[in-house]
Amino acid sequence: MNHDQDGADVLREQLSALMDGELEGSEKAFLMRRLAHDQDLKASWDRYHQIREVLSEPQGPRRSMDFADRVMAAIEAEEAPAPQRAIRSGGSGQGWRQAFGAAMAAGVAAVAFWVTEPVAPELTDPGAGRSASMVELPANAPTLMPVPLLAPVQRASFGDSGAGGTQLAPLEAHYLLQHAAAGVPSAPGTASAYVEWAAQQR
Amino acid sequence: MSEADTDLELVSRVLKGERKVFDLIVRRYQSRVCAAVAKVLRRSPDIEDVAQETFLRAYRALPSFRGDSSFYTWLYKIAINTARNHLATNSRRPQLADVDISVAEHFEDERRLLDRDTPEKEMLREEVEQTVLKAVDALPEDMRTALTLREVDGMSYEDISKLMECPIGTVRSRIFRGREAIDRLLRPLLKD
Amino acid sequence: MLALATLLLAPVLHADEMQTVLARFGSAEQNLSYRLTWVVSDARPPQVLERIHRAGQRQSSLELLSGGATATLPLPTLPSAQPESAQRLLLLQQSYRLEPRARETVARRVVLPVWFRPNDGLRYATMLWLDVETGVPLKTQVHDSDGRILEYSVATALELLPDATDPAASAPASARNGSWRIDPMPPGFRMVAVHREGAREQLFLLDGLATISIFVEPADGRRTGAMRRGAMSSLIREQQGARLTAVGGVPLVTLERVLNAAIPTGCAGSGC
Repeated sequence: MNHDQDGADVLREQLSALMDGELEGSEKAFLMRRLAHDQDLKASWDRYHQIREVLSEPQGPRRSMDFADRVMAAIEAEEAPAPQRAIRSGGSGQGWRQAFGAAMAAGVAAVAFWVTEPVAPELTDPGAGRSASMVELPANAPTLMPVPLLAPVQRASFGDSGAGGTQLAPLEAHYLLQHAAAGVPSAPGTASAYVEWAAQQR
Repeated sequence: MSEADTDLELVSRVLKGERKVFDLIVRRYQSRVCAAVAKVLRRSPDIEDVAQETFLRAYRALPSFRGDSSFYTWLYKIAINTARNHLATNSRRPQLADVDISVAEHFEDERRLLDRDTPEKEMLREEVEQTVLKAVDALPEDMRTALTLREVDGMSYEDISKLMECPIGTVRSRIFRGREAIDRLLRPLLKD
Repeated sequence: MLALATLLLAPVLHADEMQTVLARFGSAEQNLSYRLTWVVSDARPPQVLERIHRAGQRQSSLELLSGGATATLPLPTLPSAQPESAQRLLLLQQSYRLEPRARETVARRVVLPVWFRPNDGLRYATMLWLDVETGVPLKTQVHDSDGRILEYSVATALELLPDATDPAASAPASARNGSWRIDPMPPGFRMVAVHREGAREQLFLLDGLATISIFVEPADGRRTGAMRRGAMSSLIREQQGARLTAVGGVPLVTLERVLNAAIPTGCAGSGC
């Protein structure tokens, strides 16, 4: 057995635990020191996090492959000295003043931000902002009842299989397709149903 | 012991002068920050620029991070605020996008408006995703279960060990070996 | 000065144009025959599909162009599930705020993007890029309430086909009343068609954009549960001797609400 190989494996196992927040004590301290300048370990960190991204399925626009490189290039380009302060603040008033002084000297802009909750604006105010061009409803039209904002739905598993999956039995897929075909091709969900059918053709 | 502790450790190192450690933080949260910005900016082509600005602001503001919330919560607030500022500044600008989808040779993925990848990088990303998904499917069941519980459900090692009825050390090993098996296939794809 | 005036007037012009294009959107499926080729970009791998739609006919077809082999799926339509344009627009305005954007180009055709912003959490936010000439959506983006994209598809070609409407090929009108009803109906939805095929009945609900089907069959102890793929959710339950499968381009909570309100037509209320 190659001793170097074993050593590298041990480090990567520790890295794997570190990214999960499950590494402690001297192992953690040693790995942190190593991680700052070990390019192979950094590359493993990057790839492990890419695996995480694929598996945890962040939705929405995908970030470009060199996003992190561009961020670091922008930071380097600012040529600001690395911000200096101990973060555990209990009694670090002096440290705060030093950091503030350093920041002012470097001309670093202060960042002001406030605490807000991320809520889709249109869903917090149902019924607001109706346009003047809205058509008059006939007398027997159903009344629009205000509906409280519902919690986002978690992805549910089908049947009792446990941790979420979207595997469909062909019988269930048949319902999706029959619904999608029922006559409104532009309706949300139609493309998803067709994708399910397409997936079954492979 | 938690991921938040790892974050604190990384932040602490940056504050001690190891600027390059910030790179690890960026790689850890880049997708989530983009997703947070996208919540506010929706289909704007500025999402990546605003996400980049978020990390720059976070870097400059690190001395003010007191550790009384988790680092990611702090970063997330910066992302939302930066995105909202961008929205407020740019709300009067009319949409000038004029997109033409070419038909025959290859269809353009509209999402390329939102990132800056070349076609080669876009294909690489697709390949990375396919490789990871196929590799996970091919893992032995105990590794796949442990890794899925960790990455998809965000469970701690302790909770996974209770669920899988095995020691925590075994959970750690299974997750590592699962990642390694996938990583072996990714390495040749991502070699610079 | 002219540029400034154009910018200031832009929202007004868009709103006027939106009414026109929406009217076309509402009647496109009734009046037009076309072949639409499009890419579902959020699928892994992306899928290229082609659909032929025949105005007023029972059959459309869906062809899979990507992945090597082609496969064809005949799509039986329920013509009576496509409401009249005026009714559809009325329904739309009850449940959504409609916001146009500036014109763009998709598949070499001029489109008007329109945001359909839901008034409540029972439906998804959808952006449709509507072909200005025909009203056919050439790009679709569906978001959940967290802003995550659930569905994203882009047309690469739209070809209008000669009108081959054959009155004899039209489907007979569907029943108006099913053996089950939804009471109370979720806000904004209306049952527009009921279709029977053997022992299975399909109740079809519409809010002007989103659609829900409830398939009613005899209970048989098969697997039940919930599932979502992209923007399409399904929820299956067995209740009162029937198997109810709710399927729709809506959040699962909406399907839950629908099934909670499903009762056999003969019943007066709970406890039936």
